[in-house]
Amino acid sequence: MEQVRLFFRKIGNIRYISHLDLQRTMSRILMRSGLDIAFSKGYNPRPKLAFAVPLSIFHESEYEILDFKLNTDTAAEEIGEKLRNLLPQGLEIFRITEPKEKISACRTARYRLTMTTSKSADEIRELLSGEIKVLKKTKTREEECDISPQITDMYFYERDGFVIMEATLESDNANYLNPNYITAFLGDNIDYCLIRRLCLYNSRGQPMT
Amino acid sequence: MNTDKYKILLQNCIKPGRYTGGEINEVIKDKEKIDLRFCFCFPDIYEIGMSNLGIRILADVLNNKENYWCERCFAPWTDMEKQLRDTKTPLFALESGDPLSEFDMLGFTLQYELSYTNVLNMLDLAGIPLFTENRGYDDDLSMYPLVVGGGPCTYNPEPVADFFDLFLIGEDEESILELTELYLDCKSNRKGMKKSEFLHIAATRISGCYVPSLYEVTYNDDGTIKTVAPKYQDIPKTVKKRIIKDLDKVSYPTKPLIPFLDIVHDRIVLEVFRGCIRGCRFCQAGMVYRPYREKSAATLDRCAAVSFENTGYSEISLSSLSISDYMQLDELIDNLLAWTDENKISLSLPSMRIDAFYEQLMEKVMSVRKSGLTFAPEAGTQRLRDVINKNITEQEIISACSKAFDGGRDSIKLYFMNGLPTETDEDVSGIALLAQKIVDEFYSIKRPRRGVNVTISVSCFVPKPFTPFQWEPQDSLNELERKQKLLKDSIKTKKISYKYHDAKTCRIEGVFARGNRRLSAALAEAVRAGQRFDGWDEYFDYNKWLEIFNRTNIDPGFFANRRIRFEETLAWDHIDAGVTKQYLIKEAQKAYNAEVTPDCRTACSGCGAGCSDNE
Repeated sequence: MEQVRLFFRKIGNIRYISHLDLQRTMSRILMRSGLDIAFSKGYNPRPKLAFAVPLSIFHESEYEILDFKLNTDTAAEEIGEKLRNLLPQGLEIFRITEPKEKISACRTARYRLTMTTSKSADEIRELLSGEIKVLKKTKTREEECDISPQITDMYFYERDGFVIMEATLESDNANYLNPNYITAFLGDNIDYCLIRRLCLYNSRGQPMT
Repeated sequence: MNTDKYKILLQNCIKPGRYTGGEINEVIKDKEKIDLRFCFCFPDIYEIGMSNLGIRILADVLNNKENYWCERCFAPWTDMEKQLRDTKTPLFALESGDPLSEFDMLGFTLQYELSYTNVLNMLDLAGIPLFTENRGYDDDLSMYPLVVGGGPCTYNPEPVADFFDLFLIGEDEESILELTELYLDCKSNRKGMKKSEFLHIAATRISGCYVPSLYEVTYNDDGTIKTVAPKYQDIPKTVKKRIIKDLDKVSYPTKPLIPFLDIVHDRIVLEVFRGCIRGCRFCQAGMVYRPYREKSAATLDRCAAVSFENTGYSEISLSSLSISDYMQLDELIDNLLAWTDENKISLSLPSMRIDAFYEQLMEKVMSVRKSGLTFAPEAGTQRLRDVINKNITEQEIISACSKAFDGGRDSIKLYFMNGLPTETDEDVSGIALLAQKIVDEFYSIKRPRRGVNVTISVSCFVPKPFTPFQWEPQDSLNELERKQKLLKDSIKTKKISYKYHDAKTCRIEGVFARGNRRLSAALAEAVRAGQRFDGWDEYFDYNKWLEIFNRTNIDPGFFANRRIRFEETLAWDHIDAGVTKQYLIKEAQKAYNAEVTPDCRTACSGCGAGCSDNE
C-alpha cells in the first residue's frame, strides 16, 4: 500500500505528551524507520501526517488513527516491523490498513472516565442526569452552554473503588466536545479522573476503518 | 518512571512532560544492580537543560558503566514548584521518580550566574540543606548526596563555594569517573568514612577537583581578598583545569535521548572542536577552553551517521566556537552533504566569523536549506573592534552581507555589545551606522520586491574571570541605559530592528561573575525571599536583589563596577584555567592601545594554555 492508516493506542505516561508533541515524535519515528515516506513540498520538507481527532494531553486512548503516505508500495507487515521497535513506551500499533474512509468521517468518540471520588456511581449519574451547563470558550468570549445534547449512551458503574462512566461524545470537526467539560462540571465532586478514549465512530456509528 | 504517586501534581502542571521522562533512548536500569546513583541537576527548565551538550556527554560517560545509573532532574517551573511545596513532595529525578536525597551524587551544571538561585532552590525542594557544613560534613559520607558542580561558571565558583562539596574544573569526561570510582571505593571498602575525609582524599588525588571547604579566604579592610590558602599542606595551592587531549578517543553520545517536548536545540549536535584560536578579549569561552583541539572529519561524519540512525532527526548542527577555523571543514561538509541531502537533513552552523572561508561555506550549506544568518561584529567601529581583538574589518562585514543578499537572503542578524572597555558615544552610534551601511548595500545591489531587515541585538558587556578584561569595571546601570537610548536614537530607519538586553540583568550577572564567598549570604537570602529563574524576565526582580544585597551588607558596585588593580588577589586566583595572568595583563595593555594580537595559527601569543605545538 502507499496510503497507510495506522491504528494505535496511547496509554500510560505518554498521556502527559500533548498532541503537538506527539505529531513531532511520530514524524521523527517515520524519518528513522527507513520507510520511503512522502514528504511535503516546499521550504522545510516533512513527512505528511494526518491525525483523526486530536487527543488532549492527560488523556489515554485505545483507538488513535494516523494517516501518512509512502512513495513505494509496501506491505502492512513490513511497515509494522519497521515502526514497532521505534515507538516509545505507551504507544502501540494494533492495526495497519489502507484507509477505507476519509479521516474526516469521524463523528463521535467513546470515552471512559475513571474517577476517584467519595460519591457513588448513582450519585454521579444523578449529577449528570439533567442539563450539564459549563463555561465554554469561544474565540472571543466565554459562554455558558448545556453540553448534555452532545453526550449519549451514558453508562455508570463502580469497580476497584473507582466510579466509572462511559459515554459517547460528539467529535466531528464542527462539534467536538472535550470530555474535560464533564470533569469540569463535576468539579469538587471528584478528586481525580483518568480519561481514556475507547473508540472513534463514523456517521453510521461504526468504528472508523 | 511510575508516575502514579505524582499524578495529581502532574495534572496541575501546564507541561507535565517536563517531569515524566519516558523519552525515546532514555536510559533505564535495574536499581537493584546499581552501585552508584548519580543525578544530573540542571538549574533551568527541561527545554533548556535538555539542549545542553555537556550533561548529555557526561550522562553518557556515566551510563556506559554498567553499575552506574545517571538520571536527570531539571528546575521545576513555578506551577510544579507550587505543587511540590503544597504537598510537601520532595523534588525527584525523571527516570526513577526517586527523590534527589536518595542519590549518591548530585551534579549541578553551572552555565550562567543567574541560575545560582535555581541551584539552591532545587536543593531546598529536595529537602537537602543548602550549605556544605550543614550536610553532615563530619558525618558518614553516605548521609547526604555529594553535591558536585561543573560547567563554565566554575572558573570562578566562589559565590557558590559554600554550597558545594566539590567542583570539577575543566572538561570532566575523565575526572567524573575518577571521582565516582574513588567514591565507590571509599563507600564500600572503608565503611563509616566521614565526608570530610573523603573530600580531603578527593582533593589530593583527583586533578581538577576543587574542594572549597579546604581553602581559607582572608580579606583586607577594604573588602578585597588578602589570601586564599589551602588549610592543609597536602592540598594543592591551585587547582588546574582538566582537558581531554585527544578528542577522537573520548566517548561521545550517538544515541541521544529524543525529547517529546519542543526543546530549544532539538537536533543532532556535533561537537567539532574545543578551544578557540582567536583571542577576543571579552570572551571567557575563548580563553578557558584553550588549547585548540579538533576532532577528525572522519570521526564526526561517522558520529553523525550513527546519530541519525538512532534518532531520525532532520537537522544536524555543528557546534564549536568560530567554526570556520576548523581545518577539515571542507572535507567534513562534503562528507556530510554526500548523505544528508538525500535524507532531507539540513545542516546548520553556529554563528560564524566573517571572513574568506565563510563565503564558500555558505554557498554549500545554502544548497540544503536557508536558515537565518547571524554574525557577531561585537563593536560598531574599527577602533573598538581592535580594542577587543575581534580582527575583522568593516569591509569584510559588508562584503559578507553582500554575498548573503546575492544568495537571496533578505534578513541578517548582528550581535553587538554595549559598555566594552574604552567605549565612546561614537562607538555606540557606530553600531547604527554599520547597520545602515548594510541596509544601503542591500539596495545598491538589487531591486528587490521585498525589503531588507537588519536586526541588531545588543547585550551589555560583563567582565568575566580569565579574560584580559577581568579587571575592567562594568559600566554603571545609568551609563548602560544611556548608551542603549543613544543607540536607539541613532537608528534612522525601520529596516533596522533593534533589540537589547536588560541592563539590570547584566549588572546582577556582573556581580556574581566576579564575586567572592561573601555573596553566598546574599544567595541564601535570595532563595529564602523566593528568588528563582532570575534569567527569566518574568521572574527577575532587580529591586528585590538590591534589597537582598542591602540586608546582607553587600555592595553590588564593589563586584560589578569597580576597576580591579592588576596586583590585587582575585577571588579565582587559586583556579588555574591554563591562560596565565601575565598573558592576560599583556593583552589588557594592548587593548588600551587598540593593538591587535594575531590568531594562534599566525603567531603564538604564549598564553600558557599548553598546546602541544608551542609550549
